Amino acid sequence: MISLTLTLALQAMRQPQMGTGGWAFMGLAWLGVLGLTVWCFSKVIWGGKPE
Amino acid sequence: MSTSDYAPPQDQERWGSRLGLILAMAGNAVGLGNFLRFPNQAVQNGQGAFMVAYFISLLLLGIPLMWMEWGIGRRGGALGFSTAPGMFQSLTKARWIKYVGALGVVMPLLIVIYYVYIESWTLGYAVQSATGVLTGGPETADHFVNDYLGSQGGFLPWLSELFGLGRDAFQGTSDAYFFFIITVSVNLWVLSRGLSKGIEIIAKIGMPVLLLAAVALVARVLTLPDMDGRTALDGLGIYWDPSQWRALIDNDLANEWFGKGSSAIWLAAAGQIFFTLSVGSGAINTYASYLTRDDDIALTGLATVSTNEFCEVILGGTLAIPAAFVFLGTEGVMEASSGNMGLAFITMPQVFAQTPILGMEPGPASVQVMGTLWFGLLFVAGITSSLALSQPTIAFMQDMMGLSRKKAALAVGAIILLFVQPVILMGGVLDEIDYWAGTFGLVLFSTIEVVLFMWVFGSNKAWKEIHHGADFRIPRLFKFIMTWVTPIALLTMLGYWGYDQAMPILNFENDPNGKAYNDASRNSAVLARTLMLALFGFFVLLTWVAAKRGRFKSLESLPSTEESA
Repeated sequence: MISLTLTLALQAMRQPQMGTGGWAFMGLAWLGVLGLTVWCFSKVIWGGKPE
Repeated sequence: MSTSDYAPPQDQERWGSRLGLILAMAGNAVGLGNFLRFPNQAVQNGQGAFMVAYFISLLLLGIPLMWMEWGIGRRGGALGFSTAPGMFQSLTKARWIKYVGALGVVMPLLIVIYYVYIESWTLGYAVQSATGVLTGGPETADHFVNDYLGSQGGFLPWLSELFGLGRDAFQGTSDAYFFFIITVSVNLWVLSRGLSKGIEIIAKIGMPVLLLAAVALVARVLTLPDMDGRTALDGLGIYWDPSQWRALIDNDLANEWFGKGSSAIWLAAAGQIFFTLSVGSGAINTYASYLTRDDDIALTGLATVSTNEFCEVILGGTLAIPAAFVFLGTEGVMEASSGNMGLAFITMPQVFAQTPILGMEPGPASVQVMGTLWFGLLFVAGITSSLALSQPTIAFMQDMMGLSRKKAALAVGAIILLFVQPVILMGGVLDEIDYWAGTFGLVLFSTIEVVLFMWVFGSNKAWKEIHHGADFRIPRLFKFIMTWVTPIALLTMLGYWGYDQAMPILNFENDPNGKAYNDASRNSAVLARTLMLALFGFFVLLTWVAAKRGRFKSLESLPSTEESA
């Protein structure tokens, strides 16, 4: 199992492709960063002190 | 007396606006590390596994340390101190701690000494791109090493002829030295103008320009035509592969896949978080000291983290590596990213020369457009960071030595010009300073800060301090993380360093990259370490002089740290 994983990883390094996992990982990271940025700046601009 | 009723000096500088503060803080964080160091580190240190470790480090180290530094800094400012010696002294009765705080002045100064030099390369290359001197042809590597860094031609003869001075007017002077002097002068001029009229204006202009330039470049990279079946999107697959996470817990797998152990991947990811957020240098503390006591730091601190991550993960991660992948393939990317500077100054101009843009055929014209954007954005990213890194020394000279801002800026300029000479002239000095001040030092200083703030000052008071005037309540889980997870992780990193790497490095057997020193590199290392220790000793001495003059006397009237929270 490990050698199969290794072979696949080495192949991926030689000719990387964005698989489903890659898109999901990048999408999650981008959404997280973008979401945090939008939330922070909307609160900076329109938010007030909490009660 | 509490920090609430302490009256800071009348002439205490303040930020002009909240947006200006956020942009200046984000400018501090967004630097060369986002666009150069991050993709290199990700590709060289575990790719998909690096990215997983990177986000875990962000949550457990980066964000908590950012809040702590803002808290320590704002509290110090309210007590009339803009640098770490006074800030540390205000957290404990131990009088010697202010001398440890001198690290928070020396380290950013050491970093800025070599950082400004590299920043000047980006200015030089932006100008050379715009004027057509940089062509992106096969001579690009030779141009960088000999024409730019050496003294064999390049931009200066071109400039001499332009002004009719004769081709040899600047003979013997390298382009690198010429642009370094210009870059230092620009930095000092901005610093001498102060916070709201200098640093804040540069951040308000520079950050939007940087974002526009980066977005334009990302748009071009993502729409590059295929080359031999390679697309830019596939290039992203180099480090967006979550299945590689197992290398983080399986040392054998990490060695087989990436040629390095799991711990090396963790350390590289954590190191990148320190470097990119500028935590652990003392610069954030100083910027935060210019807030008023009731200003929010919870939301503003998080906003600067998110801006930095946007520039790093989304923009920085989508530029150099995918572009290089399309034209060079995986092996080319691995080779280009093996050195921090080769990718930016050699590979990217060659990539630009093959990139069609604005309906033009690929060639020198596309280097003019894209090279100017690329190196221009690097310069803006660099200068907003170098200003922040210089500010602790400026503040120290003003606060502790009573110098005017202009004289303080001149003093910083003199130190930079003096100490940069071995960086420019002796190979290996830059790497040595980068390791001790820009890598190890960040972890060491962060560890001291977190232990002092969360354990000595106390986690309840620290939590209350961070929430004073806050625009939102930080999830309580972070109190546990800041009290236990962050300090234990940092102490573990230092302990592992002591066990695994310290002795060969301290004995001058191996350099920080694990390679054996030769005579020349050992001499450079000895000189670099001597200079760093001398500079630290100098600032410890200045702190002692300030203490003798009664600069820290106001802190003695703090009845206890309990009341001051």
